[in-house]
Amino acid sequence: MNDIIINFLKLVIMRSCPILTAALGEVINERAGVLNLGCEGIMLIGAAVSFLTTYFTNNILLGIIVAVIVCAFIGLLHAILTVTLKANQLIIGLSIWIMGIGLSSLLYRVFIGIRQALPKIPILEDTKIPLLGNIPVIGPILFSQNALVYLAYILVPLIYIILFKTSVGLNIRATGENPEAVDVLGVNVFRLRYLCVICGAALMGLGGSYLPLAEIGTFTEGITGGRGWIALALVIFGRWNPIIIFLGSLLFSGVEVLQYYLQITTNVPYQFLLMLPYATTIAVLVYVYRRAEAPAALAKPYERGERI
Amino acid sequence: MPELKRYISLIELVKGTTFRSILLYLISVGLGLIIGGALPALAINISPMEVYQTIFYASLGNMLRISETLVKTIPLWLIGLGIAVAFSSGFWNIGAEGQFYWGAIAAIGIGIIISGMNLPPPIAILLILIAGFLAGALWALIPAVLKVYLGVNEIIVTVMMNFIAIYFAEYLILGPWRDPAVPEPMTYALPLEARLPKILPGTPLHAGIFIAIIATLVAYVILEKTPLGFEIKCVGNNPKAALWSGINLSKVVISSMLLSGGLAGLAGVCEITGIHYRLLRGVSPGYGFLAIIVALLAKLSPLGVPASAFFFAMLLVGADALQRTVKIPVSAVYVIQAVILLSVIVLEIVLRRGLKR
Repeated sequence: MNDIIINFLKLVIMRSCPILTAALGEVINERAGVLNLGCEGIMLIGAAVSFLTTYFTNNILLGIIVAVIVCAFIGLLHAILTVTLKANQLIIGLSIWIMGIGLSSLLYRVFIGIRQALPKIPILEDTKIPLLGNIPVIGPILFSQNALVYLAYILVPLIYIILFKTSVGLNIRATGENPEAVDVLGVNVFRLRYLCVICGAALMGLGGSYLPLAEIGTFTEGITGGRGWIALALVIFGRWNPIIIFLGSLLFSGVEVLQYYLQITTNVPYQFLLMLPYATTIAVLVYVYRRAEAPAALAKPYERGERI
Repeated sequence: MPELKRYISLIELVKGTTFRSILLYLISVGLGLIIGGALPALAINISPMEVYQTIFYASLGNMLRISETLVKTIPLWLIGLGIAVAFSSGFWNIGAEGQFYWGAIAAIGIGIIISGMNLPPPIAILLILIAGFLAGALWALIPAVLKVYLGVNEIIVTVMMNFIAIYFAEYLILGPWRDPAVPEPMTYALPLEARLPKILPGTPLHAGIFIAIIATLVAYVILEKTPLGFEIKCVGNNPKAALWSGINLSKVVISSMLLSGGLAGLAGVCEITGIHYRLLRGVSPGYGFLAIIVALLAKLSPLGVPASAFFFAMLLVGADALQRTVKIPVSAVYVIQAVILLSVIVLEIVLRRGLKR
C-alpha cells in the first residue's frame, strides 16, 4: 500500500514537469506584460524538435538544447511581432499556436515519414541523488527522479528569486504593471520585454521536450494534448507567482495521474476519465477567476511618448 | 488611448484602400505558399512547382475535383461564419471544434430516434438541422455564461471544452452508439430520409452548400443590418464605451455566442448528413481550428468568409492529394495559414507606418 502511494506521488511530481516548466515560461512573459497564447504551439515544436534531434543523434542533452534554441527563436518572432510591431497579441498568439500544430507534425513527417512501428528513443532515466535519495518516503518521491525534474526544482526558486528579489525582476514586474513609469526611470522597456518573451518561449520549448524525452519516448501529433493551454490556466491559478504555480502544477498532474489509476481500477469508460484534466481546468478557472489579478499592462503593446 | 487602440487593432487587421488590401493579400498568400509549400518540397526532393501544380490540379482540375473542394469548403465556411460573429463581439471562441462535434452528435442522435418512423425527408432534415444548431449553441452557451457572469477567460475554457466534446464523441462511437454490423468503430448510419441530397450527379457535392449560402446571408443581415449586429460590433470594438452607451453586454455576448456555436453545429450536421452518414473518429481534420484563420483573413466579414474558406479548402484537397503521392501531411495547411496571417499583419503594420512618415 505504501509503495502504491509513493509511486503515485512520484508520478505526480514527474508529470507536473511539462505544465510547470511551460507555465514558468508563461509567467515570465506575462509579468513583463506580454501574453503568449502560442504556448501550446511552442510546446509542440519543442517536443518535435527535441524528439527528432535525439532520434538522429542519440543524444538527449542535444535534443533539449536544440529544442530550447529553436523555441527561443519562435519567442524572438513573437517579440518582434508583439513588442516592436505592436500587433494584437491574441491574434499573434493564436497564429503561433496554429503554426506549432502544423510545423510540429510537418517536421515529423518530413524527417520520419510514415512508419508501421513508432520510432522510439530511449527515455531519460531516473538518477538517484546520493544521501537525499536514501531518506525514507521523501527520497523515492522527490530525489529519485530524472534530470529534467531536478531542473524544474531549480527553476521554480530561481525564477521566483529573479522576479521578486532582484532589481531586474522589479523592472520586469513594473513593466507588466506600468511600462510608462519604467521607461521614465530610464529602463529600456522593449529590451526587457524581448528578454522575457524569448526566455519564456525557451522554457515552453523545454516543457514540450519533456514529453518525448522523459515520458513517452516518441512523438505523436498533438502530443501535448492541451498542456500548453492548461499551463496558461495554471498561471492564473498561481496568481503569477512561481511558488503557487508549482503547487498548482501538482494539483493538475495529480488529476492526470489519478485518471490513469482510475482507468485501471474502475469500469468508467476511459473517455470520461480522459476528460478529467480538462474539466478540472475549467473548474479551477471558475473558482479562482474572481480573485485573479493579472498584471495591469498585460496584452497591451507599449508605445513610447504616448500620452494617456 | 492605448486601450481603445488595442480593441480596434483586431477589426483593423487590414484596412485601407482596396488596392492596397488586395496587393497585401496577394503578397501574403504568395509568401505562405512559398514557405509552406517549398519547405517540405525541398526536404523530400521534388520541385516546389510540382507541389503547386498538384494542389491546383487536385482542387480545380475538373468538375469532380471542384465539387470535392466545395465539399471541404462547407464546414470551413459555416464555422468561419460563426467565428466571425463571435470575434466581432470580442468573444474569442476557440471552441468551434467542440461545437462542430456536438452538431454531429445531435445529427446521429436524431437519426437514431427517427429511424423506422419513415418521416418525409424535409421534416427529418429540418429536425436534424434544428437539433444540430441547438447542440452547438448550447455547448457555446457554457463559456459565454462563464465569461459574462463570472469573468472567466473564454479562450482557455473553449479550448478545454473541445477536448471534452471530442472524447464524448469518441465514447459514443466506441460505446453505446457503435454499429456492430461494421468492423471499424462507427456509429449507426443515418436513415435514408435524413440524408442531404447530392446536387450534382456523380459528384460528392451536397445540399449543405445551400445551407451555407443561407447562413451567410443571415449572418450578413444580422451583423450589418440589425441593431443587434451594431451592438455586437460596438462591444467588440470597445466594451467600455458600449457599456456606457447603455448596451446590455451580457445579452450581446450570449446571443453572438449562441449564433456562433449554432453555426459550428450546423457544420457538423452538414458533414454527417451530407458525406459520412455516420459519426466516426477524426471526422474533422481540425476544421474548428482552421476556420479561426479563415475568419480572421476574411476580416470577420460574413461575405469574405466563403472566399477565404474556399481558398483553404483548395489547400486541404491539394494536401490530401499530395499526401497520397509525396506524403505531405494536411498539417502543411496549418503552417501555410499561419504564415499568411502573420505576413498580412506584418505587411499591414509596416505599410501603415511607412505611409505615416
